[in-house]
Amino acid sequence: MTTETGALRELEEYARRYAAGGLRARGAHAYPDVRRDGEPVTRVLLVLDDPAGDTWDLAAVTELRRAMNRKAAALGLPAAVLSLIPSRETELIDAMSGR
Amino acid sequence: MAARQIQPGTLLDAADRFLTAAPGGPDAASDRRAVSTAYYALFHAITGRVASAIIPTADEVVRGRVRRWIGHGSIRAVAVWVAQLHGGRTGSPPPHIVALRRSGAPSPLVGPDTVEIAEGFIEMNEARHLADYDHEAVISREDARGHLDLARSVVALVERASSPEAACFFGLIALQARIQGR
Repeated sequence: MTTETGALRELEEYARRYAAGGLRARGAHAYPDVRRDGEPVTRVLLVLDDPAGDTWDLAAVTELRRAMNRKAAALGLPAAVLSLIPSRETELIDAMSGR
Repeated sequence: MAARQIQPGTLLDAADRFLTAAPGGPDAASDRRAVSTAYYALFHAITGRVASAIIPTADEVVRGRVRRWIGHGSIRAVAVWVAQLHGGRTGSPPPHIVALRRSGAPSPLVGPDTVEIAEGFIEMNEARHLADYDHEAVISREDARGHLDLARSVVALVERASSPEAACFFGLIALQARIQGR
């Protein structure tokens, strides 16, 4: 396992253990990517418990993004960019699993 | 003429309308357009503040033309500096930006409002790249709605920000931009 692969798996594990502000992750997949402008990023697909309403609490999601970015930085990974999926979206979760 | 100017509020409303369409589908087109449109609401809110900062007495038509010179990359660069100075992003701004900070004082760029604006812009910019260009992106309706909420919150903050740090933020974006034909 390369250092980067190990760091990505550790970031996924951190995400799966995350529970704060009413948010809890049920699944995570992290992978390296490069923006169109050449900047490297860490894409993270996160399956979360379904929100109570149309979406999740904005402040809680902001804190989740900050926490994931702090962890990515601590692991030496580029900035984390999250895509959030509710657990009820089985079709999207299947698409995520196919990566 | 003002009615023809791009208004962040109307863009946010347009983004909201995309989210009333049936969700999902193979390309999640409505969710992608909602995220992209919400991003542009924030982008144009910032260009409005930047133009007002540099030519405050010009009329709306002139300010609108100057706003076209302000690029996404210029805003993103300054936003990343703020995030780096605040510790929310790895790396460091260029030495001349770090040197703006006087010994023992906080950076003139970093305040509660500029951190929130910078982090919000970076997030929306990333989301817009995914929505507009990434054929493999997985975009849920709930995430698109969350990005619209984020854009709405940050646009409101951009429009009311009056701190010295905000003035510095908008001023540096102006300095990053370039007078050009477009």
